[in-house]
Amino acid sequence: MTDADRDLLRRFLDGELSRDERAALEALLARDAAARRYVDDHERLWAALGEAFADAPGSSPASASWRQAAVQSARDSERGSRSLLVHPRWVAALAASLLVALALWIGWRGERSPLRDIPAEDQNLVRYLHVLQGLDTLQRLGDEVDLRGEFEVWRAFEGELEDEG
Amino acid sequence: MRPAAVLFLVGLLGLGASRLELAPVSIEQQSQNRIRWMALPNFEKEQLRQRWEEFRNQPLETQALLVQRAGTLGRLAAHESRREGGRRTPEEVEQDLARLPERLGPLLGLPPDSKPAFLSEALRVRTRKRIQAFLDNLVKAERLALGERAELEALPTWDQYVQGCLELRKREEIFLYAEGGGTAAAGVDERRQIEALAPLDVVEQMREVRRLRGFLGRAGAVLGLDAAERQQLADASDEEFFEVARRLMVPKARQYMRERLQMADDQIDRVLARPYRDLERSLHRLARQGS
Repeated sequence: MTDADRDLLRRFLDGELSRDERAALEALLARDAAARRYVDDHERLWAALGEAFADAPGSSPASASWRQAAVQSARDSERGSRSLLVHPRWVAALAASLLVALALWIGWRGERSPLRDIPAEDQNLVRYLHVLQGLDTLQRLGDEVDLRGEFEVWRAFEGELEDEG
Repeated sequence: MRPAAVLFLVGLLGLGASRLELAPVSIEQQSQNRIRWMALPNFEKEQLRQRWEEFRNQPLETQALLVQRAGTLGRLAAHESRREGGRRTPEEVEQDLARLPERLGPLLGLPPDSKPAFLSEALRVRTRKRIQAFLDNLVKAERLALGERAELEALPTWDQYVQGCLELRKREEIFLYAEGGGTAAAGVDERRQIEALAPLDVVEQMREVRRLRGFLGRAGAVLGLDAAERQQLADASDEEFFEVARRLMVPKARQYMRERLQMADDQIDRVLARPYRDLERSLHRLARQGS
């Protein structure tokens, strides 16, 4: 593969090809097994990262954006090394590092939880204690609170329309 | 599979998970709960354990709704406490709630005695319009791919669509905050705490950051406000906030684009004509390119 071929592959994976360049890419993939392997390896990496973070133990809504940021960060770091093709071993090492980091992070999060000294069987109760203690109000004034919630959502998107700010 | 598609699928998986679990509780709220729990006598703890069992036996949708309402009430109490000074009592929060319809009518251009159901419907129409503008602006700014937008718009219910868009808003707010040096300066702990918050909590926090800086992102870092200007922003009511912020930020942005970025006046005028949040995004990109 020439440098021009590598550049074509990278730009394809970044979604930057024009219609003419796509024809050149198809010709390259048809004639060059190394180019096909590179594209396959790359796509397997992203699929594996996506699955690994989505299925991680202890996964919670709070960690969703973190997972996304981690995958984005991996993507950015891969994009940053534009002058090199990614060797499959580096890819495996990167994926393994991210999984280790995730495991450490989950453990670290547990250690730093404000509920760490509460017995495990009471932790969820204490986490939602404000809900339990306010249940009567939350049920009695449900419609009013829901209207306030809708108002908050409306305000969350303020400043996007031409006549706003 | 393309990387962008993987990223978006990962995001949607997170969103899917969020529909199966209760909303996250902020670290601050958990700390308060812990202190309250420690102070309770044993018989009350036992009553609460029973209450918790009853709560967990309710359908998940009911649990999620009650947790969501608790979050709304908590934000209302915190918001009014900041604006009025002093901690709001539960009775005062109930009064704030009761006053909402009469306050909301004029904000939406409707009579002050409009019925809550009518206000709710009007809010939905106006929210949809704002969200569409938000998505349009993100696509134009290349922060959202058309495919990702289509995935969001294909979500089956209004609530899921709104939740997806709120997650996107949260992602954008954290991105701009971090780019402006926010989480980088404060460290991992702050980032962890912000990312653990519900989207509306993040929006509320970032509104307060804007009261200090005017803009989030790089633009907020390079276009500083002096103490008197910060005071004007702090004093602005919620309804006039973006108007006051624009009045303060536009001259600074114009000077920055002219002197530091050597942009032509007609280009500058086009940038400054954008809605506030879109202006903030554009200036962030320009400041990053110019640095």
